[in-house]
Amino acid sequence: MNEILINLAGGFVSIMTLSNLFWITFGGFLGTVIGMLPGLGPATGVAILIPLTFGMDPTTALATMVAIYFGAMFGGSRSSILLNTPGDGGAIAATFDGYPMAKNGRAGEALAISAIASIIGGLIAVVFLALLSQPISKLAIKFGPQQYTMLMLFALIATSTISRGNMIKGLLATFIGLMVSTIGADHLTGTTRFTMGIAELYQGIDFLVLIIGFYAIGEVYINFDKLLYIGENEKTVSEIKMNKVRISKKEFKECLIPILRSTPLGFLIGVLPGAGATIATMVTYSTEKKMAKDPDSFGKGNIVGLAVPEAANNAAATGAIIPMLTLGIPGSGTTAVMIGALMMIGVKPGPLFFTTQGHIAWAVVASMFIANFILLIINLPLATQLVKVLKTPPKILLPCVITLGFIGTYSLTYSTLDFIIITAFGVIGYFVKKLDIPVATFILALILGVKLETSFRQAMVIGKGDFGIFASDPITIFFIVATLVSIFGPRLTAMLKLKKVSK
Amino acid sequence: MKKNTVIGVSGLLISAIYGYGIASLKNPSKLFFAGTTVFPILITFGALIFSVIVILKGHYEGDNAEVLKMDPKVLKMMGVFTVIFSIYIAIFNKVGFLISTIAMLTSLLFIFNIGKSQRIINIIVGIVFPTLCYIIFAKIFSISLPRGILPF
Repeated sequence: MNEILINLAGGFVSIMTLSNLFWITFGGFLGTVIGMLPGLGPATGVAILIPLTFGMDPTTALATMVAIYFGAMFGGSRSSILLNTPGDGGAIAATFDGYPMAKNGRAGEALAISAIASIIGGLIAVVFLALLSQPISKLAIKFGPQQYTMLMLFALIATSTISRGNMIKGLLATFIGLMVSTIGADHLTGTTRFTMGIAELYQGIDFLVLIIGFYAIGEVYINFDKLLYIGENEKTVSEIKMNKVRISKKEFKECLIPILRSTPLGFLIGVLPGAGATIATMVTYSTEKKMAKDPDSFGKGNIVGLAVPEAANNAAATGAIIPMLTLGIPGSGTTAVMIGALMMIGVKPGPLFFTTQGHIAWAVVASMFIANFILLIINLPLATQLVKVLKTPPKILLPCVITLGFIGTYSLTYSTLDFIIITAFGVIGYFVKKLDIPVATFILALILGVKLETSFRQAMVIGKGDFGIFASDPITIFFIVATLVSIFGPRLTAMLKLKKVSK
Repeated sequence: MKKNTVIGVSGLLISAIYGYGIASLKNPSKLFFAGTTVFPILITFGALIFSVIVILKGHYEGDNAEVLKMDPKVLKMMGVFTVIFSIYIAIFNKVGFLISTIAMLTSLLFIFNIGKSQRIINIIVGIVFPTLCYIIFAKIFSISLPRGILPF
């Protein structure tokens, strides 16, 4: 415990420079603005703002990305509450009671409790993160290639199975993502594979470029559907009557215990690969509804119904950072984008991150505390000013997002060949979403592909070609069980529920 | 067309192309299981199996199957955008970031933001946004963006 406190204190000393504070504030502000735009979530926000972090030292870059991420989570709820249009999946639950509150003339209270619940959830989750990161890292150091292979398989399969009704599509997307990851030089032998003689592909396809194509351009194409038909029925923020952005003591007391209850649950769900904020918010919302004295008021503007998913949303976002920092495995779409950006600036998250680059790791943990406070300042007094962003027509905003996508791509590799890749993957991304294929599984496979192949082949050499190596010790067996649970657990639970009902 | 059929057939096609790529690879390692081709072979099998499952799922769904509906307007718009992006890619290095991006953004805005009253807004945003980006990225963050025909 003492060690953690000393490390954290060191982190605060490193992060408390004027330049870092400026970037955390600026990143948080930009993240909030992007998160507020309907249809654009934190993954898109981080993807198109990556160029901002180039030239920064690793600590500042990582802190800025975290601030953008957290800001987008805060901002995502604004459009949910005021327009009934969530910025991303994690903000969907905020529409259930947030929008009815706004329609009932309580938009100010809704924005205030959303910001307060988010900061409480976020801060508690950062404490959990500080406590858990080092023990997880220490455990992960003991991992050999076989344990890593099974861990990555678990992450990939769990991410695929989490999307209800789309598990098979998710698994297929995972395999295709793995295929794309093998393009370029083989990392173990140097042999080039699937490059079709194109020299630029020897290094492989830069997954950040692909991510920008999918998230920035593809997202714009998806918005075409709505954009082409925007007319008289378009909802505008001006229809909502804004009152003062604050809540009473009574309302705060009413929300505090549910917030404290939902935060650990949201955090735990966030840590699980693939589960993420959407599931965290839905689970905590339905749990709180079941526990409430007046469950019928949920969905009609109950302030607790808004506070709970908001706290869980931010707790899950923080939880998703743990596997990224300690295992080098992204737990969500946004952390997948972040890990790509970190590799660009020479930071390699993983089990050794807290040991070899501890000064950066702890400074980033400290920056999360600061980012939460800064975001509260941005989101409470400036709430009424910030929501004006929602008045900007998407017909103007989306072409600007495309432009940022192109700048971001060019700044990664200085090659216009990547423009062709983002153009193509923008179109592919559109069809992938239209076909309800989970994008996150493809992206995760693409990012983990090289690591998975390397670990797999190293393990096979250790095991002299025997597949039994992947079930040779308690850690690998644990991951096999966890994988099986992630596949069959939800089905078994559903079957048991059906049995109960039929009895 | 059923969504699952589209996905399954696409999966099969991708697997076939990828499988053809594997056939042209050499496996330089003496140990087959640690060589260049083993991982690609395994994932190709995985993709093939799940492609077939998705196709079968689509087949047995019958009339309840979800169908891929494409809006011709959206497809047309994507086509127009792709043409604009292609021109942008072709002129980017020659005329430079600023002029090419102003041209691209203004074109996109004029396609979306139709109406006489919007013309001025489109032109202002089309010029100001890329200029701001150029100042921020090239001048403040020192990201090298092509100058092209401009002296700065």
